[in-house]
Amino acid sequence: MTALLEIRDLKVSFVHGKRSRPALDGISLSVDRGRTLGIVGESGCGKSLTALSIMQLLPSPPARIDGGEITLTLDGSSRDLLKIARKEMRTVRGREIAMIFQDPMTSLDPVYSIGEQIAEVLMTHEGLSRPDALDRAVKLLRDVGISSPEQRVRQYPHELSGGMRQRAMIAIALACKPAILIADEPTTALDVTIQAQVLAVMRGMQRSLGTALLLITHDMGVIAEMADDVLVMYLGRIVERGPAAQVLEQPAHPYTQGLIASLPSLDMPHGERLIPIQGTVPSLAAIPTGCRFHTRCPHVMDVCRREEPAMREAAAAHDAACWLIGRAP
Amino acid sequence: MTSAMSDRSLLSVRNLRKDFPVSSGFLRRTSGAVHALNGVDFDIAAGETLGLVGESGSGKSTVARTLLRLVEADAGSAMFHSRSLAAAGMVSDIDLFTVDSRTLKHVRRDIQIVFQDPYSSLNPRHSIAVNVGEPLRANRICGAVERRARVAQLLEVVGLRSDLMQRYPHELSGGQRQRVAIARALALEPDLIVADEPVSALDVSIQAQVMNLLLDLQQKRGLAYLFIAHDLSVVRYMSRRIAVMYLGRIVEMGEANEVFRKPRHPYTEALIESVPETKPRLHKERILLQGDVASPMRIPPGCPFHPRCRYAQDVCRRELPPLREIARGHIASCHFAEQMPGADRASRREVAV
Repeated sequence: MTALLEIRDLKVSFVHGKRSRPALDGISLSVDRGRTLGIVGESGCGKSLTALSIMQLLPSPPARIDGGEITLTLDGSSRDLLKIARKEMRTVRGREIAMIFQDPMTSLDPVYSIGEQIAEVLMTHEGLSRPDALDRAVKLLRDVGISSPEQRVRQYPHELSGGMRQRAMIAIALACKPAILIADEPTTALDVTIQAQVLAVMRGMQRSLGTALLLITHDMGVIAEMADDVLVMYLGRIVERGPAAQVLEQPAHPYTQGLIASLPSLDMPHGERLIPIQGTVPSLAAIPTGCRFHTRCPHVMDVCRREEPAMREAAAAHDAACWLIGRAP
Repeated sequence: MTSAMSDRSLLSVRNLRKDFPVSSGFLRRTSGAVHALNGVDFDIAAGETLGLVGESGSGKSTVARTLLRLVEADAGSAMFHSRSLAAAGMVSDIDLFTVDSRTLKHVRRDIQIVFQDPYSSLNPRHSIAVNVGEPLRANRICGAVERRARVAQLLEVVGLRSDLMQRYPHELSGGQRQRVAIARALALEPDLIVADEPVSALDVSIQAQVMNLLLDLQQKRGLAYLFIAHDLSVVRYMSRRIAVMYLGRIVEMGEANEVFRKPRHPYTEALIESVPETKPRLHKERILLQGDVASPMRIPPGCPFHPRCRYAQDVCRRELPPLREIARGHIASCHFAEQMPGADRASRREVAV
């Protein structure tokens, strides 16, 4: 069976004059209906760039797609999103793949009411009349857990709290029942109690609509809570992939291990120290030779400085790109 | 150092209040007020960390700002023991809120602040050397030559190479900038650092590095911190004692271990339950908190938390519960604090597994 969305060997670089810097170097992933794929990594690792490539919203220039395929398979027919016409992409966007961002205030239009913004999507993609679209907007707001939606539908973004704005964004994103929802740090700007509410809304919607969710976050807790599978990215490459539970409990790549060891937890006894990853993420202009993580890796060996490791199996369905895998300890 | 070791507080805040007037309409008449702080009391002992946690709008940053006199408190006192004043042979215990501006200048050496976004608190047109050396220059501590040497030393203390001195803030990474801000805060050898969300903007690996740096500095220099953050795990890691704020009031305060194991306020309990669990197998059946934080312009009557509280009774809608001691050194403001289930997290999780 083909996956709903499959990316194969995607390469993107940033071009400045004659120089080009690889930002995504051979990204492959797939998402199925009703599943959640989490993408984690620190800033600059390429998480958001991957999402923007799928949506064809890369800032270009300076971004340039150097190769790869992004295949969307719906009702048995496949299309490469990198090859289809702009106009066709516009119907894919919003209708088949929707996206929500970290800061809803910048993606909502401040001069239109929430209801008008939801209705616009329905009028554009589903051809509903304005009154019908507004009725549906009320229903959608109720579905995402907004109280008194009849009043809220007439309000403007600045009149809503951060949590409500993010729910409104989810309502807009799900208005056309897209097959895929890409959520880029959807709860990062929210308080924890509101984050818990918004995550619950997303889970509920996914269950009732069967939407595939591509969840981008730096928060391992959110991954643990939401994701079936997880990809860990570092400097434009995938360094580890596998079932979320497996990766979080038995991380195979030293980078993933370091990320998890850097996280304070509520259950940590006071006085116990975290062991952070040394150093900082190098810039794209100075990607290290060999394994990109070798400059910060506590287990670095000679081979790591020379050759980039390929993905190898660490456990069933769990791969990581590290020379240590399969080596006798 | 624990609070028990020092019989005297470094800082003692009582009944801190702050309203921000809100004006509206064509004539910009004052039409109401944001009740940011509604009577806040706490103490910090020398060398201790008090963690202040709460959601947006709880007033935690306003506490920081009033202490530094970046905004003026409306009422209350903040008694501070100033080493600089003592060294200058002046009265060393002063109220930060009423002290005159000349004395305040001395006291500012003893209290420093580190903000969330170092990029907006560092001067982008000055090199790192000038930024870090500025407090030394402004307070006429030493001449240019010695200043350079001290700046180099400060950068080393926060784990930066001294060759960064000639760089400018935009050339550094977020983590490096926060280290620079910490170096500047250390320049005058303060006794108290108010850290307002100092690691929230940093990536996880850098966040852990900066937190460890703050802990090391505390150990070496006997610094006290008022550590403000919205992230419970971060506050937990940094502080032995924590205070939980909701709508301009402290609703619970005590030893972090106690508070997290046996929360005595339903809001604290809800905060703890909202933190996503990183171990997928330990997923909890959580009870979600309903609704948003009420607006600080219209604080609900009675217990301000009652509209979101799952235990709310009639009395909660009528009467504001006083902040009272529930167990030794553990205070909470809930009518039903004693009846809180308080089942500790560990046992609850065993059930979940």
